[in-house]
Amino acid sequence: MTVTITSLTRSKPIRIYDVSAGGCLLESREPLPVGTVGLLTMDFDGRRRQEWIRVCRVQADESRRGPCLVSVEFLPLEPAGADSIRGAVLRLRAVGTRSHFPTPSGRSSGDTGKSVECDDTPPVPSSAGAPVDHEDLNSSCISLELATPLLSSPARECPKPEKE
Amino acid sequence: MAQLRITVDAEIEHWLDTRAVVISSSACTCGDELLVHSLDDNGQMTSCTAKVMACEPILGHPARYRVSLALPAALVTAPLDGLPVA
Repeated sequence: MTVTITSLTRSKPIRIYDVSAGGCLLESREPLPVGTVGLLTMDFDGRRRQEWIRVCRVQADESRRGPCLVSVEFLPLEPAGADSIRGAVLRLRAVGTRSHFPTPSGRSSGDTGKSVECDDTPPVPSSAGAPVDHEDLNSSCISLELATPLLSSPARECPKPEKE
Repeated sequence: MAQLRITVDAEIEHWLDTRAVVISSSACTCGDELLVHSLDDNGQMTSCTAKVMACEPILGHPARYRVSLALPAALVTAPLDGLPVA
């Protein structure tokens, strides 16, 4: 048997800091080259979900050791289905914009805060029967704010692994 | 903990029985287990799980690595329509 070309597939554990509908921020122990394409699997909103990703930028530690922060974008190769990370984020975002962020009340809005809130919008059913964790959504919003400066700063390439 | 599954192409430099040396653009760690998919002369796709025995960088640009693999004795026929993703 003569074989010259092959493909190597490997799975590596990673930590996810931030997820949006367009991508997420990962922490990897090893540097990932920009442009790397892979399949991301994670438990999100009560289900195991998958998404094809591509590495956009990589930020390494100053000491050139330790984990790398890797920004990845989701590849919309197929519609955001029930097992899609994109779909879960979009559903959470829809719920969040309707019910999580309350309408500001008080003197600045002309409301003393004692008025009865009347909401004409119908209740939004939770996705796939799973309860929506508003605290989790809130932490996602906070992590987005924390990660934004990281994503906005100029990227540099990860150091090449040193031979020991 | 989330998992990231990455597939890269590799060029086989040497393959004899249960030992293979491949040139890859991705570095590996000794002990890593890789899923290896190959297309033989008959157009049949085979797959196996290999263990990384050594990985050394190759000087030059772009970065490439010489990866030594330990393969199982028997290869399993894999579907031709792509890699399993589940």
